[in-house]
Formats: sequence, structure tokens, C-alpha cells
Amino acid sequence: MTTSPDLALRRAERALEIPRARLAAAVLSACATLAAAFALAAVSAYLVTRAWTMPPVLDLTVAVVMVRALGVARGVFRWLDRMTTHAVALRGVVSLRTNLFTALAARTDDTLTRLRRGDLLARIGDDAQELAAHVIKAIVPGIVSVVMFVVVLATIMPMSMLAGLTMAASLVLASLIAPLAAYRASRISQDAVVTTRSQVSASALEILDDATSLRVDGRLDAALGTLAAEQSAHDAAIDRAALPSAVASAAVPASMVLAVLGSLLAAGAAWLDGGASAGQIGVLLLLPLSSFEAASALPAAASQYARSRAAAARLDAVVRPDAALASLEARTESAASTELPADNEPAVAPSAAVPSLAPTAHLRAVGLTAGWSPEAPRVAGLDLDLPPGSRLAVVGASGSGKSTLLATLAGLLSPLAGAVQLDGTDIASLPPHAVRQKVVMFAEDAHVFATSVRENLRVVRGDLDDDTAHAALRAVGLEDWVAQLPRGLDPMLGPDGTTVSGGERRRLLLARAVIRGNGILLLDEPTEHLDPARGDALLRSLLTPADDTLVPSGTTVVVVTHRAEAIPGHPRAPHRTRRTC
Amino acid sequence: MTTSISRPPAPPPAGTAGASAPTPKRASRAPLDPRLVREVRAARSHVARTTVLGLVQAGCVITTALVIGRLGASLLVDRELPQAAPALLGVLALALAIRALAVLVEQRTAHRAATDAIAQLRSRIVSHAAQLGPRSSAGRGADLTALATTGVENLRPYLVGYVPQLLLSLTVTPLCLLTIGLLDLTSALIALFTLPLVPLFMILVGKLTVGRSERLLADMRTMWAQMLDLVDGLPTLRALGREKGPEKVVRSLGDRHRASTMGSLKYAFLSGMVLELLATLCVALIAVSIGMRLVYGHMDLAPALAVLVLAPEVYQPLRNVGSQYHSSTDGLAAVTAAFEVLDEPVTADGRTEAPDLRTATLALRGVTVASRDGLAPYRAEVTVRPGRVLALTGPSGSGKTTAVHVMLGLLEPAEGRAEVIAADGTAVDVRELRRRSLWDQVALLPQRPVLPAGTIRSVLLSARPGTSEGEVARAAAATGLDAVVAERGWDADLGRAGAGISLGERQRLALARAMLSPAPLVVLDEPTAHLDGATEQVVLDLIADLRRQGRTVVVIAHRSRLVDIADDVAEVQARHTRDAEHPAGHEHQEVAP
Repeated sequence: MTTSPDLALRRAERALEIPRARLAAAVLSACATLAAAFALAAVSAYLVTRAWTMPPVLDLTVAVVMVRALGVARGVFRWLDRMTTHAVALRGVVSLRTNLFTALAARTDDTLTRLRRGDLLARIGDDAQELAAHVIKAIVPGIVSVVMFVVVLATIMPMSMLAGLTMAASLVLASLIAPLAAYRASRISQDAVVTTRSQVSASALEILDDATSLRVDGRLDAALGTLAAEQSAHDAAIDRAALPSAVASAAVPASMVLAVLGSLLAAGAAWLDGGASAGQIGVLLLLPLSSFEAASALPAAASQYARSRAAAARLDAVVRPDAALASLEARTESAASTELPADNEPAVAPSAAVPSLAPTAHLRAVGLTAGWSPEAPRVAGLDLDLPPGSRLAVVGASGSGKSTLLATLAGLLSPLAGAVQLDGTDIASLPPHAVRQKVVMFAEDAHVFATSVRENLRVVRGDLDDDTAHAALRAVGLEDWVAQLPRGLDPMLGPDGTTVSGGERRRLLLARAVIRGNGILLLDEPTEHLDPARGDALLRSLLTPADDTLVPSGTTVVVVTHRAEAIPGHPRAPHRTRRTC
Repeated sequence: MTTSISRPPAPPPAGTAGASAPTPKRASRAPLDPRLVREVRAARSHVARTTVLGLVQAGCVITTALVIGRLGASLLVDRELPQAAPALLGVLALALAIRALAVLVEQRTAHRAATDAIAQLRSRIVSHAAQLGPRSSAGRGADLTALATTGVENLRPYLVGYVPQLLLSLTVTPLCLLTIGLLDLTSALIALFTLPLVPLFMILVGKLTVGRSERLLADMRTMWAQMLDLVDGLPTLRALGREKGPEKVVRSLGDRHRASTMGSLKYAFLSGMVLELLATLCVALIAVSIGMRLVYGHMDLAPALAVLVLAPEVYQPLRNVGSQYHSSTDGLAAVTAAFEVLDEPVTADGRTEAPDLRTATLALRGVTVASRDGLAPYRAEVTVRPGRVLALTGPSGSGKTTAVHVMLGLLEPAEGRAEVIAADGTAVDVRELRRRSLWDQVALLPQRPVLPAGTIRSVLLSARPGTSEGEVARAAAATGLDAVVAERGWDADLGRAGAGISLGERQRLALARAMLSPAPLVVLDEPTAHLDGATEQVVLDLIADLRRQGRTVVVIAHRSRLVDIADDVAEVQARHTRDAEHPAGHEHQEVAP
């Protein structure tokens, strides 16, 4: 399902939640900047021609002061303009990111599980940034150019109708041709980037990656030839953007011809009629050259508009309309009351909304076929029956679909066929919150947050006390590690656990499962990177029915592992699921 | 008006962007790279053409000012309508039209020049880096690919946006200033006095900004990292049912991020303010000075009007250069990086024809190659005798693949030498051989084979010119590829970068491709990686078959089964300068003070 880019852009603009007053302030200061330059041109033209009539010097005082003031004002307004515009844009991005995050978190289907990490970061990073640029380069200059259009005409019209009309005509001409041409150029080059240039990039990468064997096999020249051919195809495609882009740049100076000549002729008529003062004639003569500053920002605005549309469409594809809007509506109510302590230690999950720990349920898979795409199911026609307290090991070669199975059992990935049932109810028909109360998956690549050990454990339970935390860490064999940390549970861990070793990280993730305790726990390779003796001991304790050293005896545990030899009471027999109860 | 906020690299999103010229110019870097002009023809003609068009534009601007001054003066002083001087009116229209046309031509050709320059640099980088061999990817693999794909594209805004404005500031600005001087010396002196203030204030503002923006930049990076951390962790939180709540953290982080950014922009935007201030102040001072002299009749009206038209034009190119500052730094960075690659000398080819490898022996004598963290291999001694299977072993990172690269003359060792000893006992250093004559006798299966887009059939048929379908089928049968073909068919689409098939299938396809070559020396770099036990046996049989055919096999092996079937085993070792006590990425990041 794809929505039109225009609809997507409107939706994204709404998600920026820009207050009208702030936007108005930004537009106002941008207008003041342009108006200062415009007024400087007008008043200095007036001053010079008025001075030529040799009035008493006192008559010129106001004009002189104004010219000097405007000379200083523009720079100051410029600074103000940039500050207010950027402030609006940056505020917008914060809201957009928050809304994106909320919408993603609120997804009820498996979008989040399917989304590649790089894509997610690109959307929330680059595309959100593109919409900040949308405010700065497209929205504000667009409104400003309309305001300035009125200001310019309101200045010139009272002096001469003819000059006003030619100015209006040339401004309209410039404000239409330039942005339209720029928009076209931007679309053409964007298309070329995703089609021909991605081919060029892929070929270049292939050659750089494989240079050695290309040389030895004597295929290098052929590969370089392919690259050259693709490059010329791309050059031809991108070259189509050159003319519209050049037209966009030349449209403003071209429209000026009409405005300058019209104004000049009008000045002649007005002076001989005696309908205008010398000062006004000066304004009519010189002002047309300074009336196009707002219009000259429009080509950049138009290309930004094209980029913003593309970015908004990409964002929309990730956050489908229903969720985006629903979350937006839900959020606007709570937004005002959202206040956060400027804590040094980012609380990952504030203690509100702790899922209450439900007693263990009965998990069942019926004819379950699971996989990431229907063409390549990883698990087919699986039946499982796990009453409370079951312990199950899933063994198999890497890539045989063990993790896929866990994600499907946890309700994070929709089954391709068949069903997962909790106490007899299809998991797909239960609200995610209710599923999570009973089944929780601890992924192999689960995230370790760049915060304290305590916060990393509180992710599972907001009401965690230090004693429980220490007990869990002791159970997984991390007590020595925590003891040697400078501040126990408090020190910060690096981003995604880069400052903990593979084994420590794995045990920290296992500690989360231990803290979670009851319900149904799905664990993916919990003992990888641990020394075999210790890892196997932990595995045995997880898999031995009624063993309560790590989790209560009534807890159902499903463990994916490749350490078949550690499964209690079973000889090595890979590639199958194995029940240990 | 060219405020730009879209500076992709993550940390400072709003990034100082839009600041016209936030920091003092880096003295070491000329705004126009001399090598780019010298070596890239498209860039050279672009600069020449843009200079000429800049002069044309300067001429048009000056003509416009003089004609408006003259027409205005004769209207006010002599009450003569502009229509009365149609020639002048025509000249004015023409000057304005030519200026627009010059802009059109300049932008049209600028795009073409950028397209050509990018194409030329990209093809030079790629082919040069390919010639450099394995070394080129050793130090800066990701940088190199980024440069060849997106990096060189930075030349477009540089050549289309920055360079023309730079050249305009070298043509329009001085010519307008000269004309003002001829019309009215006082105004020219005012402009001359304010112009040098531009770089002066820029440097002062830059000095003020530099410490601050660096500190804030680091601060922003931390906050950006925390935000990404949360985004990264979202799947985890969702799996735990704890996805509600962190959005508040996202907002508060975003707000801190924003406050920090605005704090640095406050200073960064000062430079834009100074530039605008000086430009408008100069115009204002000139206007007042002219006005005061007109009142007392010390000046004529025509030059007064012309000077008033010209005064803003003096500053216009400078303001545009300022707003294009970022395209200049990005473009110049790409140019510098490109020439750094192109400056690396390529290993010279030899002249001696290689001996027949069916009877010749290859040997490494004390070969040492410098690697990122030490020497790998370190003093390798390997002898590959004709018709025998040699297994090259050693722990990972010990330089097995590098040793083979040296043996094939792809890489120069830091110490020692690689020799080819002909049947009659004459030894030649591999560096003296004409490489083509050596490589024509070698079939190589690299460690990470790269397959072109296409189908199984097309990849195999294009591997060697003149390959028959029968040969392809035989190679497929010999490498276990036939099982893949049976399942997916000859015309299975591999997709770009082999996305269509699994790693093991790719490995078999690459092996089949290598087997199409009848070359006497077969080099297999970990041929059983990604293969299961049954397919591994196919490879073992294949090696035995090659030996029966009397061909020489060098196999780089981790697994013992490969080593078991070898006639000879050679082990290489590395010497690491520092021990692995600093695992990668082990640096403590302070999240908060």
C-alpha cells in the first residue's frame, strides 16, 4: 500500500507539529530581512534623486537616518531570521522523530521486526533531517516570496500603475518558471540517482571488491568497459536535468528585463506628467533591480520540495497511515504534560506501564509455517504443545530458521501458515500487550542500551530493586564483573554494549530473562560466547524440568542453541527440536 | 538565501549548516584545486568558460548601470523621455538579456562539465584502485568505495555552484569596483575600505566560533548516539513489551539536542550577519555620501545613479561564495581524496615471459608483508612443486591469502621475494615477469567470490570467452553445482550482489567458474567455506581429480580434511607488533559529565 507523495508530505508536515505562532515569527523575520534590503534600495534611490533637487539639508535627514539604519538592520534581521527559522525546523524534527518513534513502537504487525537496522536509522535520521530542510528551504521562503510579492507591488503601484503592472507580470513569470524548472530538474536527477546511478555504483563496487580475481582472470578490462557504458547511460540521464536547472537560474535575470524597461518607461511618463516627485522617479528607476530577492530563492525551494516529497514518501512507507495518525492523535493529548527530568542517566523505560507478570500460559503451535518471505519458509508444518513448566531446546545448523521460529512463537512475526495459540486463543487475535504479558522473546542480538547496568535490567521490570538485580546477576555468573565495576550497577555501558565483552553481554541478556522469571521465555542462543563449562551449566539448568535455580519451576522455557551436547539426557542429534520434559 | 540544513553525516544534523562561512578558510587549501584544473579536462574548460562568461556578466552589469544612470539623468535633468533614446534603451535591454543568457549558458555547461568531471574521475579511481591490487582495499576499503560511489558526486555542487561564484567574485567584483572608481573616487574608497573588513571579521568570528562549536559538536554527537541507541533498541523493547515510554526520552533527548544546536548556530550565523552587515552598510554609506554631494551640487546625477546600481553588485558574488561554502569544502575534500588514490604508484609490469607452470616451481623466500597490526605473513617459506597439491595453513590473520598474492605478483613484499623456477632450474623474480603471461596459467578462486548480476548460465558462459555448454555442464557436475541447477534451473536469477542464492550456492557457482579454466595452476582460497559436509566431499574429490590431471593446486585451508588430502603442507605465521589487548571499539564513552 503506497500513498501519494503529496499526501505523505502533508502528513509529515503535520507530524512536525509546528506551532503557527513560531512559523509566523520565522516568516516575519525572514520578511524583515528581505524588506530591509528592499527598503534600503528604495530609500537610497529616493535620497539620491531628492538630493539632486538641492532641498535644504534638513529635509534629507530622515532619509539619511533611514538609509544608515537599514544598512545595519539587514544584517541583524538576517541573523534573527536564521535563528528563528532553524529553531522552528529543529523543533519540528524533534516532534517528527518522537512521532515516528511512537508510531513504530505502536505497530501491531511485524514491521519493526522486518525493518533492517540501516533502513530504520536512515528514516529517523536522514529523512527526518530532510523535512527540517523542508521547513528552512521550502516552507518559509515560499511564504516569504508571497509576502514580498505584495510588499513590492504595494510600494510601486501607488507611484505608477504601469510600473506596478510590469513588475507584477515579471514577478509572476519569475516565480512560476524558475521553481517549475527547478522542480523538474530535481525530479530528473532523483530518478537518475535511483536508476542509472545505482547501477554505476554497483558496478564500481563489484570491480573494487573483486579487483584481484578480475585481473588474474583477465576480465578487468571488460568490467571497466561495463562501468564506462553504465556511466555514459547515467550521464545521458542526468544531463536531461541540466537545461531545466539552467533555466531555473536564468529565469530571474530574464524576467528583470521586463520589469526594468517597464519601470523606466513608466518613470518617464510620470515625470513629464508632473505626477511624481524626483524622489519617486529615483525609486521607479532603481527599485526593479532589487525586487527579485525573494523570487530568487524559489528554485532552491522547489528542488527541496521535490526532495521532501521523496523523503516523506519513504517515511510513510515505514509508518503506515493508520499507526502514524493514531499515535499522533494519542500523543497530542499527552504532549503537554510530558515532562522529563533532565537526568544524566536516560531511563529507557519509565516505570509506568510495567506489564504485570501473568502466570504461565499454555503455548501451542498448530501446523506452523514460519519465515521472512512466503517463497522461503524456514520452518514448515510444525506442531508444538508446551504446557506450563515445559522446557524445550531447539537445535539446528545456523540459518535453519531457529530464530525465525522463536520470533513467530513470540508473536513478533506473523506465521506464513498455521497458528500460534496461547491458552487456546490464536496469538494473532490477542492485543500485543496481552501477548507480551505471557510470552517474551530474548533475541540473540537484543540491544544493550548505553546506560547503566541497572537501567539495562529495568528494561524488563520497571519496579526492579537492587537485591533482585544482584540476585539475577549472581545467577548468571556476573556478580564478579559487577563487583569490579567502579560504581556497581551505576556505571554507563557503551553504545550497544561495545564496552562489555561478548560473554558479559550474553549473560546480561540472560539476566534480563531471569529477572522476567515467569511466563513463557523464549531464549535465542543464551550461552553463545560463554566458556563451554559455564555455558553448559546454565543451559542445563534452563532445560531441566522443574529446575528453579534460574527461573521458577512453573516457567516455560524454549531455548535455541547449537550446544546439543549440553541438553540434559539427550545424545547429540542436530537439526531438530527437542523436548526435555 | 541558500541556507542548507541537509548535511547527511549523523552527528550534527542541523549542522552549522547554512552558516555562510562559519570558520576561517583553511589556509592550506586553495579554493580551486590546481590539479583538478590541470588534469581533468572538463574542469579546465569549465573554469575557462566560466571566467569568460563572468567577464560578459560584468560587462552587462556595468553597461546596465551606466545606461540607467544616463537615461535617468536625461529624464530628470533634461526632461527627455527614455523612448527618445531608442539606441540606449536597446542597449539596456540587450545588456539585461545577455546577462540572463550568460547565466543560462554558464549553468547549462557547468552541469555538463560536472557530469564529465565526475565520470572521468570515477573511472580513473576505479581502474587505478583495481590496478593497485589488494593493497588498495587494505587500508581504506570503505573510504575508497564511498569515494568512488557517492564521494565524487560532491564535485557537482562544487563545480556548478561554488566555482562560478568564486570566478564571478574575481571578475564582477573588481570590474564593478574599477567602474565605480572611474565614476566617483569617494564611493570607490568607501567600498575599498569595507571590502577588507569581510575577511577580517570572518576570521574574528571564526576564532570566536571554533572552540564553542567543537565542544557543542561533541555534545551533540553524544546525544545523537543516545537517540540512535534507543531507536536501535526499539525491537528489543517491543519484544519485551516495553515499547511505550521511551518516546518521552526521544523527545527530551531531541530537545536537548536542539538546544545545543541552536547554541552553536547562534555563533555560526554571526559570520552571515557580518557579511550582510558590511555589504548593506557599504551601500548605505555610499548612498549617503553621494546624496550629500548632490545637495551641494558637487556631483552629477548620471554617475550618482550608476554608482548606486553598481554598489550592491560588488558584494553580491562574495555573499554567494559565502553561502556555497559547504559545497566547496565537500567538493575539495572529494578532489583531494581522489588524487590521493591516483597518486599511489602502480606496481610496474615485468617484461620476461613466464615459464610453463606445468613444469615450473613457485617459491616464496622469506616473504614478509606489513599489515595493519604487524607483519603477516612473517618470513614465509613456501614451495609449490608442479603437479602436487599444497595446503597453505596458519591461524586466521596469519597472511595466507597475502602470501598467495605475493606469489602471483599481485603484491610486493616488504622483505623477501617470490620466484618462479623453470624446469631447467633458472629462477626469475615474479616482479620481472609479464604478469599476463603468468596469470593466463592460473585459475583463482578468491576467498569472497564476487558474482556479476545474471543467471547461473550467463555467469558461467561469460567467465571465459568461447566456453561451450558442454564444458559448463561438466564444471557444474564436478563442483556440486548440478544439485543447485537441479533445484533452481540454469536460468535462476542471481540478483545483484548474489542476493538470490545462499552463500553455499554462491561458493559452488564460483568454484565451477574457476574450474572452467584449463590453467595448470589452480589456487583455491578456502574453497569449502560455507559448504556442508556432503558438498565438502565434492570439493575434496575435485582436488583429487585435478591432481590426477597433473595440475598444480594451492589450497588455503582451515579445515583438517583439506590438509589431509594435500601432498605438501606449508604453514605461514604472522608477527603482531602489539597484542590484542585493545579489542576494537573499546573506548569508554562518557554519556554525561
